[in-house]
Amino acid sequence: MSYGWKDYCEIADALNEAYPDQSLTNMKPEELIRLVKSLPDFQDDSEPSELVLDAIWNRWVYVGYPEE
Amino acid sequence: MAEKRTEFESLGGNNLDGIGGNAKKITYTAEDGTKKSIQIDCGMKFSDKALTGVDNYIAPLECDDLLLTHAHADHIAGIIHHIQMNPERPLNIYSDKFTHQFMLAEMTKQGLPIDNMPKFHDVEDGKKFKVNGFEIEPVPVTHSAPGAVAFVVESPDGTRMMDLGDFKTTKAELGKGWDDKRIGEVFAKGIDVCFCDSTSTTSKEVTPSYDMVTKGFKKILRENPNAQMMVGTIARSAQQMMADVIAVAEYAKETGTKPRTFILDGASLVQVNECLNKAGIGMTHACQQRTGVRVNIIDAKDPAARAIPPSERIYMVTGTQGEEMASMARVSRGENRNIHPAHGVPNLCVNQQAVIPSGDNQAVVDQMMTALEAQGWKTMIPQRGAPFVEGETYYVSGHGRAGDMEKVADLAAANQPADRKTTFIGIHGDEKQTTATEEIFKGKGQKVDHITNAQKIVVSKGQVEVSPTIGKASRIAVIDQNDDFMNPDFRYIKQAFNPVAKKWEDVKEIEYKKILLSKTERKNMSKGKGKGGKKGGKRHNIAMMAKMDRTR
Repeated sequence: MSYGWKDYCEIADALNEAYPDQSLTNMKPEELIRLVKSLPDFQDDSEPSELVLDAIWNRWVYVGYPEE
Repeated sequence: MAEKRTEFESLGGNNLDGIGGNAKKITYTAEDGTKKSIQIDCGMKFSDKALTGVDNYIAPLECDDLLLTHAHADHIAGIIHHIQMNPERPLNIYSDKFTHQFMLAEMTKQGLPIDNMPKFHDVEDGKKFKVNGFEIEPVPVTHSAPGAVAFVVESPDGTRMMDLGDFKTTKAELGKGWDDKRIGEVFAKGIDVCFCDSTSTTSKEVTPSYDMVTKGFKKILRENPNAQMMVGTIARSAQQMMADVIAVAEYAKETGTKPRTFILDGASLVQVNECLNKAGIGMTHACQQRTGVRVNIIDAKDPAARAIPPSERIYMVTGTQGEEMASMARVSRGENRNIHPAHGVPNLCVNQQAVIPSGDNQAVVDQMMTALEAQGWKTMIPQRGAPFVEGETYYVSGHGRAGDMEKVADLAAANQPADRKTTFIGIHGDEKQTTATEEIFKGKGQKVDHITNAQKIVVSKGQVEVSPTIGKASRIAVIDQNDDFMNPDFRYIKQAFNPVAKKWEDVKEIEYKKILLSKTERKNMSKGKGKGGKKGGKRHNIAMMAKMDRTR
């Protein structure tokens, strides 16, 4: 299943699977973009908005930390 | 021709059966009868599902322009449900930047599609803005949530109302916070009606500042210099966490030792730390500016965490009320892969939140603390209602007490124009609490009035009156069918208050097209197969979060 920038839930799930031990504190946007683009099913040539990047990061935190 | 007037209506938060679900609406009616409205807050009220079958109740959302006072669930958690029920609504949200970032985090947590996100507008102290004909002035206040603001709302007829939000009158550790001079300036321009947080006004004196937490936490550091520390905290109430950070910096400065590193374990802590950074009030930076000492804050997944000697660590963890999947409970069960008792040094667990008296909380927390002690952790937890003692207390509330209200009354008396006296009204409480607030202002010689949910305060030609009739209060019951916020599956039932029977009654089930989708549903959607519905996954105790928010 391929996905693009707006599919932030799918991206977060895939990131968490690919990089389970990644520290998310102080992550730069460029680093997040690089990691997303490394995902095999990611297919989107457009530039992500700040809102999209925030959404991906926030969702990744929730799927990446077993809490609540 | 209608008489132009401005009305304030409590849509939620002034409840007969407890506090929570805060929402207020201000409406201006022009001479030609046209009306314009804005809403302040749209929160959630806790329900005991075992008794009612309902997870939460949310306040109505009656306007497309929404001002948010702060990022606690009893003021904001209704919004995402209203978006799901009406995703096409062009919602504009005006809030401090921290509240904005926090809202965004909450919306992504539940998977709100990007295209359904509301439009956020960041507000700042001193920068007035216009919304739907109203001129709005945000004024910083201090609360346990950073970025808390009061709103002065001036309607087209010049009526000025101030909703102080949740507040206390001492300084904030993060952000601007309460400033007597600033509040005095607001009263000097004339405020016709002022609405005050009544949560703690039945208690005497002034709620202590976060300085008291810093002093109490420094004592703990002094008495446990070699211990590996784990501190339970509530992420959204980050003012208290900042007081701990300052304590660490000051202690390091005073003793010439290396400051401990804060290691965050738990999604909400990592999230809030980032929200603070994005709002320009990051804790490391703010602490360095204030003390000259850099205190590092990292997350538990950072490989650097393992290299830090145990006696230089403070694990900040979630789960002060023993929530099953939160960090502290998992440590107590030996299931937290990041945190274990250290060998060769003492281990100290400070649960920085008193037990909230609800359900089996006390038993759950007792069991967790006992399990930690069995692992070798020495434990500390504040007692609810214990007197504040300088140098001992390490937890304070974000809600003002009677002394804080007296201070507001004094600021009004000293500044308000002689021909424009303020009427004070207690909100954010039950009858006993709101009445207590009004008695305090009355005792200080101020004008007061009293309203319940669905009752209006009407200001016309400078006269302030309570509407003699009470409207039909409404709310929406939220039933989380699978108790899993990561895979949302909600039912919504509109309820109305029957004033004769004095009880809430179901009106109708709200039909809606689901936009908060589970992983399976999203996969099926992308394949064009429609709705899926796998249940299970992580349990998320949102009800407890809402309850904690309204008491902090």
